[in-house]
Amino acid sequence: MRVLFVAGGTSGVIFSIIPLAQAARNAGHEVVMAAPENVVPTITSAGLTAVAVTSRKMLDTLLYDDGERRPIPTDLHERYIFNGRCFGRYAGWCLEGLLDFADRWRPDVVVGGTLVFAAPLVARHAGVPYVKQAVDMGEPRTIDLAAAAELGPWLKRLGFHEMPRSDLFVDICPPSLREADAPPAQIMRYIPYSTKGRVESWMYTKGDRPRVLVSAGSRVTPDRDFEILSGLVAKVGALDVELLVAAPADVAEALRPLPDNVRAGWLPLDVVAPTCDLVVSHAGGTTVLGNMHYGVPQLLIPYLPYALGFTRRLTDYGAARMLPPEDDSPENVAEACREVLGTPSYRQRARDVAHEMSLLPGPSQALAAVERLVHTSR
Amino acid sequence: MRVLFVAGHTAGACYPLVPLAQAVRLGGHEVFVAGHEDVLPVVAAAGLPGVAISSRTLSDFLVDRGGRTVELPEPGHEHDLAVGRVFGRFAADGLDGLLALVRDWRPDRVVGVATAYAAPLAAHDGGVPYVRFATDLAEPVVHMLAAVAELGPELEKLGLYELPAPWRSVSVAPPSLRAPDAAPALPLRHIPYETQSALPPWVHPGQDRPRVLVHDHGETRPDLLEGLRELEAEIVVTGQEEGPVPPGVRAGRVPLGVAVRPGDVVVHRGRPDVVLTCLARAAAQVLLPGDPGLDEHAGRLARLGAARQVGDSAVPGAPVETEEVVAACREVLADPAYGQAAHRLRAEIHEMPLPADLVPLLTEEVVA
Repeated sequence: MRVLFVAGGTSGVIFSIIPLAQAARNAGHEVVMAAPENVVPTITSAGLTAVAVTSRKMLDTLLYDDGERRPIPTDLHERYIFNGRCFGRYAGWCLEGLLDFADRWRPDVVVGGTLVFAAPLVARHAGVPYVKQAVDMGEPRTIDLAAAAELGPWLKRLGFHEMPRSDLFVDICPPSLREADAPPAQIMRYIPYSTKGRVESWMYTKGDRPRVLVSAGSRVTPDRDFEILSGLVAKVGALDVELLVAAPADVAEALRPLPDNVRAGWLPLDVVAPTCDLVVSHAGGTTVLGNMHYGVPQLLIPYLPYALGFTRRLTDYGAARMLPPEDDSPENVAEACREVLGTPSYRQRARDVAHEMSLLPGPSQALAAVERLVHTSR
Repeated sequence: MRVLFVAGHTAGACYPLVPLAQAVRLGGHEVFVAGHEDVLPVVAAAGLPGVAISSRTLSDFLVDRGGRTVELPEPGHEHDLAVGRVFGRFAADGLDGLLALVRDWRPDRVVGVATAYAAPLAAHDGGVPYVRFATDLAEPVVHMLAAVAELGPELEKLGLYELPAPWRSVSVAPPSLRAPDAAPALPLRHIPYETQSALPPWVHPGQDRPRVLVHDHGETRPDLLEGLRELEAEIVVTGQEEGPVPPGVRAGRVPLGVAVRPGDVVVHRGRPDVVLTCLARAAAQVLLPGDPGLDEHAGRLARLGAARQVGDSAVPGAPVETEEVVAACREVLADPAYGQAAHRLRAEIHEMPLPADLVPLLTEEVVA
């Protein structure tokens, strides 16, 4: 069958849907992932076929048409509405090219990550089932609702009176960490994926000191979220640990000079994480899930509000320690690291969640659910 | 479980391995792919973590261990021996890096392409079960025997008298195309894979005019493209950078497996990964004389009715008149028997287990 994956506009949310797309491809299906032009390399470098549907970027949704920055609200509810409208706007930009591609390629099913609101619309337009796949452990629902509102004119144009609902929801959150009222889902084991580069031997071997990885997700640039990262490096580097900093090359350069016990640069999480004793991050969805997969304890500082929910759940579970952003003084972060490194229960709980995840249906089993859906809807 | 894959010496030798490596990774296992540096971009572009075991390239081993340049003899037994020895020196060069990787990373399985002769040695040294991955097309047994002879000093160092036997073998050749002398192996369905790039819109035109695709991996002859234009088909050049082509001919770095559809005709030189991709897509083939060793399966493919050979297939790389290629393409397009044979072979491929089906067999406990 022909499976059309619709990608989000940033690499973090694309990484989450790559395993299911690769599984579909390796099961002999034709797979195309549609995406904005600027993230096409992220898709092709995962060995997947990509089609560009717009030349506009996700980050442009933060700007007015004249290039002025839209003010980001500080009130939480207003911020969710703002975020949702951005995602809706982005979906609208993708739709023109996406509908045209679907008309030519005639997919049998459409798979989209959460927050990719063009996916349900193109699926309904093509008259095929829509599969929604979670890209992390859940976002505030107001974002979805505001995106639908923003897409009102598109719904009208396509003759739909509501956002088409998913025919199948594939969730990657392990059951013991799902929200109590989470919708029914086909659960899929999360397999960490990140863009690949050259693997060096220091990445998969470690010395005697505890190894701590500091990551700020893959969206950091020297202009964006940079203070978060440089702050963390200074705070954690002072401990008696081997410190690895996962950051794009330009960001790593901006962090130099670094002390002897610190390395910074591009790092493949799936290569390094198995050697780590602790990961400190801003609680980006795929970073948190990746470390859960490898059974690594985490110190999470959720600077972005939507990460708060799953950060709390993982903390309550005992596999992570949360530090509220307002408490991120050097002393507090160093103390929290010391505490997690010195408390075996964090490692034990991290291993527990990794074990639970290892028993979940893998991507090829989740794919079987997609195949059944397509089969029954014909 | 940790599974170490060992790549082949060219992109084309790595492609058939990619779906299995991805499937093992998607099964929740840790995967590394070891290879010489020049193929690591191919590995990374498949979303797999690559580890360099040497920075030298295959052509560096057209020099013997004494530093003398080796002239490859005319095609035949001497040629096969010489090529096998090149592979042997290539394997010897990567062996130290591979031994170190096995020692440091401690994989639970080593899966190597059949021509990566360092893989069984490093697996043996680390006490790790070795899985041999073969296309069983253009992998003549003399290559292997000569490579192992060349590796004599390395075998001696490791206390071995012969190449260690694999724990399991995997083959992607459909049974009727498989070399008759190939060793028993677990069948694996071939999934077309090549390095991907952004697709131009013409790849998915929304209508089904047949395509004649020229997949040459070299300088595609302008006169051939000019000649093919008279056919009632869309002419496409795949697998090369965009270059000057006659008007109306499509060209680009488009993966063949994406551009080719059932009923299309592919003109190429018989490289195993290309043959398998054509079969998996039920496309008929027009085979130009290729490198030595490719004529054997090309002949079998022609006898199965899924391909038409042109030129003097007994002479590797023999020149072929444009008119002959065009006439062959016209014949293959017009005669439904070619398409039917291609569909039969595709059906055979579809009967073979998928990569995900093979993962449990490759990761199950080893019974002593």
